[in-house]
Amino acid sequence: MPKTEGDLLGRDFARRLRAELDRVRPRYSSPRYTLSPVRNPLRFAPVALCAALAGILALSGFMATGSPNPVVWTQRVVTVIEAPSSTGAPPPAQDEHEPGPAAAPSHEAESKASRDGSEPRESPEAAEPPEAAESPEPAESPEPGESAEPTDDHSGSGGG
Amino acid sequence: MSEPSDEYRPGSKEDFDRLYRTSYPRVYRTLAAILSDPEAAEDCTQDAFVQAFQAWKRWRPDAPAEAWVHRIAVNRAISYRRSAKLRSLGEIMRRLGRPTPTADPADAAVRSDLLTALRALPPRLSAAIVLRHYHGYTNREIAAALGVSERTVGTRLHQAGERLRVVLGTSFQPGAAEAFPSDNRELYAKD
Repeated sequence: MPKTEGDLLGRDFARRLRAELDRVRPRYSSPRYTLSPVRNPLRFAPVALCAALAGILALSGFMATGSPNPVVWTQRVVTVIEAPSSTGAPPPAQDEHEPGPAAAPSHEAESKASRDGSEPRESPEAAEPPEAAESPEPAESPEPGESAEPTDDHSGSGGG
Repeated sequence: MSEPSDEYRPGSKEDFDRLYRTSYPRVYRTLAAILSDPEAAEDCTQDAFVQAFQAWKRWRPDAPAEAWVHRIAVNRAISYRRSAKLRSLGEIMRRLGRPTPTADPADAAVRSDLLTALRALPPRLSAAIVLRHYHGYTNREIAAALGVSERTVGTRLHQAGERLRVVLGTSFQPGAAEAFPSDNRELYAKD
């Protein structure tokens, strides 16, 4: 006849096990399951909302600028925001120079030149004439004039 | 088993409260036979009820509710013992060369050879022994509680019996099988 684990342990085992475990006093504390948060199906709603907003912003930024670079989007936003403020109070400097698209680079060049300490009105075109004066051509130009006068004298004024 | 499973309605807070009141001491004592630390037994029992409460709507009444909670609790105790073993290794490494701490006399007062031997067993074996001989579960109920087959339950009970006999030695004398009420219902795995 096969032995059970009851045969192996003896008849006192179950009684002694009951006695030992009945002596164990359960430690009662407040049920934790009453404190556990109920799983709300909408608990991820704020995260999903933020992700959707970010996605819409990225898509609109890409549509407006044609660039996937967020830096370009921010530059575009800065440009759009600064544009109304500049048109509301136009600076007087724009009255002196003719306002136009081509005037903007010259303003930037002036401001840059003023930071460097040079004359603001100087332009690359004004710097070219000194280079032309240094060329040897003006020294040669009087010679044909001098040679022409004698030819006139020799042609007939002196003779008659 | 304490109560028929058909008295509980899945998802009912009142029924879960009743299950907690009925089953908490029994589940705690099962884990007290697996874990040597009373605080750990309490923690694991509470965690088991938290997990059971979160899955209470999905509980199917075809399985006994207390066996279902026992299954969660035993798995939790197994995880705890596994992590405690790693922690104890770390403690040994840290305490190398230092004097060993003395045991708490209060713990020694409630310690028994039988519980010490049960706690030295693998948790699945000690859980099977407690469910059988303390709670009076049948092999089928233990199988449902531990999530294994009845044959596996029989094997575990036999292995646990052999190990306990070796550890306890002459503390237990071989006796008649009819001393165990569970033996009237079914036999364990054969050798």
